Amino acid sequence: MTPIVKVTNINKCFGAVKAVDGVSFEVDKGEVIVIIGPSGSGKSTVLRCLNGLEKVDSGQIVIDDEIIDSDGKNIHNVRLEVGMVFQQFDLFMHLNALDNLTLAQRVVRKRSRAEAERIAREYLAKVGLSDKADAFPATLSGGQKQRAAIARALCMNPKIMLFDEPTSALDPEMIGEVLEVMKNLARGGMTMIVVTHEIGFAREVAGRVFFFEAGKIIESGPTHEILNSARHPRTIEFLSKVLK
Amino acid sequence: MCLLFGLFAFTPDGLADDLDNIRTAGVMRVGTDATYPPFEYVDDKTRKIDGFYIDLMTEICKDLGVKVEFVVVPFDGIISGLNSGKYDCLISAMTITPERARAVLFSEPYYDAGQSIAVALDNQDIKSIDDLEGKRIGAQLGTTGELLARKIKNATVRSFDNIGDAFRDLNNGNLDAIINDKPVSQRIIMARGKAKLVGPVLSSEQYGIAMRNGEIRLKKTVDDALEQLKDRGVYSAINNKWFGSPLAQIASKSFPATIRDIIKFLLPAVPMTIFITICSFILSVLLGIAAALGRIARNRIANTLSWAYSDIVRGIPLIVQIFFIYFGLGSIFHLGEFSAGVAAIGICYGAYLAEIFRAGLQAIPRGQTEAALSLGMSRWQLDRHIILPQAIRLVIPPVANEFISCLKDSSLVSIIGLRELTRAGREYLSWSYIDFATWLMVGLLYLIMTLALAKFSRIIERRYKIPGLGTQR
Repeated sequence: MTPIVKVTNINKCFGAVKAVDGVSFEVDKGEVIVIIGPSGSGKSTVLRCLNGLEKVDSGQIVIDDEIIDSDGKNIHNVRLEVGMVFQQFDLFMHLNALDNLTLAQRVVRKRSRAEAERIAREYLAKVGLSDKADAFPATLSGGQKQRAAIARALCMNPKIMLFDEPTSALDPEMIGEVLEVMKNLARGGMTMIVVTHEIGFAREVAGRVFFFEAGKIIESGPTHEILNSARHPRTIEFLSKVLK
Repeated sequence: MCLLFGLFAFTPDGLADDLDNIRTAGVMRVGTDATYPPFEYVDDKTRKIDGFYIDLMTEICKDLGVKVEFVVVPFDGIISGLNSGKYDCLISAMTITPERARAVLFSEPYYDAGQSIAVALDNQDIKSIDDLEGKRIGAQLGTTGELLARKIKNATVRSFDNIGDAFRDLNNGNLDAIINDKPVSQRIIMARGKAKLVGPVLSSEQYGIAMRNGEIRLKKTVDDALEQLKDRGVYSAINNKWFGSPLAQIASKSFPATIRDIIKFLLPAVPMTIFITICSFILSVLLGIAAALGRIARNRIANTLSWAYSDIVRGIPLIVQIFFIYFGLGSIFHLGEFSAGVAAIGICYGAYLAEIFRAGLQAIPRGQTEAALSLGMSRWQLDRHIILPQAIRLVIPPVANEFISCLKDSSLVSIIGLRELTRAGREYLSWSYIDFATWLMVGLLYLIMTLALAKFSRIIERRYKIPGLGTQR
């Protein structure tokens, strides 16, 4: 089986800072990858390269058999296959929850309003927000916003979901409800790449864990192997702090 | 007839001169320009010629025992008209000068129209020009009065566009004296009170009745009649009629009736104020959007141009821009006062709006853009569905604010003669001299418009408010 994501030796600099330094990996369909590592290690940048929010300086990314052009011409096609969830939720402030979910369906997927709304309500129900369809983002809690944001991405029927520290901006008591949604998604067979510090989540649903430092994957492997018997001293040090 | 008069004109010592002919005909024909109220003018309603000189001339003819007949002629042809026999004499605010005295025969002066000194009623210190040293003097811009004032030692001279404003300042205690044309000052004082003329006239500008050269008998008769009228008090009665009562009556009208008159006069100028405001604001919104987009564009030239536009225009007072466009550019491109006014305000406000629009666009968090792009939206869809709807809502309050300012600043175009509300107020004042009530009404009309706009903008703001965002009222 060909991998759905194939990253080959990508590099990315911000000015003099090398954010991503020769990273390569593959992800199979249905796999859940958790990326951990200290802040500034390039985890988020790699994720953002996967849907073209950042352009790589060199290297190649193939998503579902489509190579992301260096000039970004086909990035539109790629983004249709890749959903993304952000740390700050980034719901559209001027639209209520339902419209947040239907807008891109209508203007990008060209679905009718009725169809878009049907799909939107279906996903709102899946994330437990059926009663919040008319609520505006400013009136939702952090956990509700993030669940709505996940539903918004899912409405576009992506093949891969990227999560960029989806629970980092949440109060501790709201983290659980978001992780629950993500776990259900993983169990349903969605291909997911998740940047997170939630080791418990990784233990429960991740197939593999990548440990990033200084723009490189310095250790990767099956979840239980990395979490229980990491070999690299930096991985061990990092995990000991996170698990403390 | 013409031929006969021409013949007699060359034979002053002949059988019959002008006086004989007038007596024979029983009528004296008098040339006048009739465009100089209250001296000589055509009444709006009766369409009859009327005024100070007209009354004076009628009295002179009564004294001569003949009827009077007025012939209206433009001032520049008035002497040739006399010499070609179209009338027997002329009376038309004509200053006696040596040049004219060669062409015609003048009567004794009937009016001293030199420069006069006006002071406040209770002023006892200033009695003549000698007392003006070191004083604060007002005058009308570009007049003989201003030249005279500037020659006075250590005096502080302030010149006004409108001499009525100088009289206001005299009453407010900001001036000690005003040097100005005597007839004009006299008329203002008669209407307003609160000031008096002191000392003799400063420059000799005396008006005379002109007759054909050589008509010495006619001149003698007219001079005698004039003296008679002065002796009998008829002259001062006529003087009082024209400089005393009619305008004084306007000034002393009861307050409520006056308010109605003022508003009646001002209201027709309100649509112009609204029209200027709307036109210039549409222009400024277009310019503002263009400049804001240029400001955030990646194109260097667009960027520089927008910066230059905003910074230059915001650094120069609007009134200077109006003068520059109307008098400066207007002399090259033939701009009317309306286009010049709208262009000046539009360009000025465009620069301020550009800043507001730019801030509005940049206030949208980057996450909104990334979320939209990650959902597969194009740049255009992003702007259309995410950025603009949010930015427009953000800028509604500041833009409404600018619109209200724009309405108020439209008053500045009154200085280039565009007849909007403020200009109408000045026009009303130029003859009514009712300062307090007029400016109160002008202010009130502006206030009604700005309050209505403020209310309207709050409705719009509330209507397009993003629920849960910002401060709830």
